[in-house]
Amino acid sequence: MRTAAIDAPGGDGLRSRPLAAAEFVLARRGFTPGLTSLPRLALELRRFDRVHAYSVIGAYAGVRAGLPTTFTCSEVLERGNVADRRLRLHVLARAIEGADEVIPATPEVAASLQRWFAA
Amino acid sequence: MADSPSVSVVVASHGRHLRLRWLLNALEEQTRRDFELIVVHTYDAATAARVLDGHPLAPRHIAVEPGTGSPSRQRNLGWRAARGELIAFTDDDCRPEADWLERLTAAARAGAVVQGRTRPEPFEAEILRAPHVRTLDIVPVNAYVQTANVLYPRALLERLGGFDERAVAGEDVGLSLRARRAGAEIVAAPDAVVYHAVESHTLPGILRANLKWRYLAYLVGQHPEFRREMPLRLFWDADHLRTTAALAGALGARRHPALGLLAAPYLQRMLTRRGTGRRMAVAAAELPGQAVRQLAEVAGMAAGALEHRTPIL
Repeated sequence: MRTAAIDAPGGDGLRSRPLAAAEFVLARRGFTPGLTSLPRLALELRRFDRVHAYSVIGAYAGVRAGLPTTFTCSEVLERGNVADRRLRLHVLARAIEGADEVIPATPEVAASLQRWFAA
Repeated sequence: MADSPSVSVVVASHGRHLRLRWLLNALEEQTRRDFELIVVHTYDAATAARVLDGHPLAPRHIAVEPGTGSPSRQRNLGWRAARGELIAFTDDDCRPEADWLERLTAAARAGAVVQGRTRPEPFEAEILRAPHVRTLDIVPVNAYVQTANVLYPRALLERLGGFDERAVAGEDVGLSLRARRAGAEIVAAPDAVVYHAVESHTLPGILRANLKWRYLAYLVGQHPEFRREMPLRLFWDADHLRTTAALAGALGARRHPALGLLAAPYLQRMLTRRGTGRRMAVAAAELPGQAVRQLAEVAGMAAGALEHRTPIL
């Protein structure tokens, strides 16, 4: 069983690496950041059986790849950041509701997940 | 609040359980706290338990089978189950300000409908950069009196028989027209503010979403007086008039080049819709997609006109 760690603290495992120029263009059109890292993550995840993601985009990539996914969430969610950009809500909802397990990194994160995602 | 009439908030929800949760969060923060909340939804038991029962407000909720609960039916089930003398409606993609209900009910008068102000959600303003966006920006009193932000006396709803469940779209407009016909006044409450979600769509997505507007022909057929609000009493709105004129101009210009001028109002509107300068270049790039969308809307309206045998474009 090979587990892909995405965006783990400390730098081990896979990193989501957005393409700066394309991200700039997408940002100007109101898209959420990180989308341009998805194609490369999808390719890399073919070598793995499970995912442990430490970022929203990493968890989304794991869920989209159809792999059992654990998401350690360290982002405090609030009304101002759950749907503030194009595809943000879609990515966030798939990452949180599609993951097999969501681990809040702090009690504050846990409270925000409960309030905004009933998770 | 002891002397003010009791109030129920009724919400119909379908396919937006997270936004419904966010609405509950906003309702939890209302300054007027003595209200009953009823949610009529199409969610499975597990989702309802997680999103609704698990919320501090723990609203009363009624589940209807997916596919059987039109917004009209859902809202009728909701207000008929409610106990309040006043029934406030908002939508599951809205976020009321903390003093919304207090201000809305403060504007209530005997027998009158109260319409509040609805604005695009400021937290989602960035999404307005998308070419195909759906949101609401309503200054009361308007011709439509949408359920995003409105209050009806329960007695009036009972007298009118509630929403017309045969209406697939525009059921809120129809109800307000029947209220006006019955002599009810529509009162503005511009300080009772609700923020409406800003949602971007792909072109195929917005075409699918807009298919329901063809049923507005039914509304106009039932309420011919609504034609007073329509440009030339034929077009649903000014965009439809401009689109139809542009199409006629494009088709006619081959034989009579001067007819091409009919497209000028449409082009002027479309090219300046985002502002001037560089924004005009963005609007120009979006023009083909916008044209497809608007032509599809007008074609859909024409199909609805044939189906319901009432002229409307």
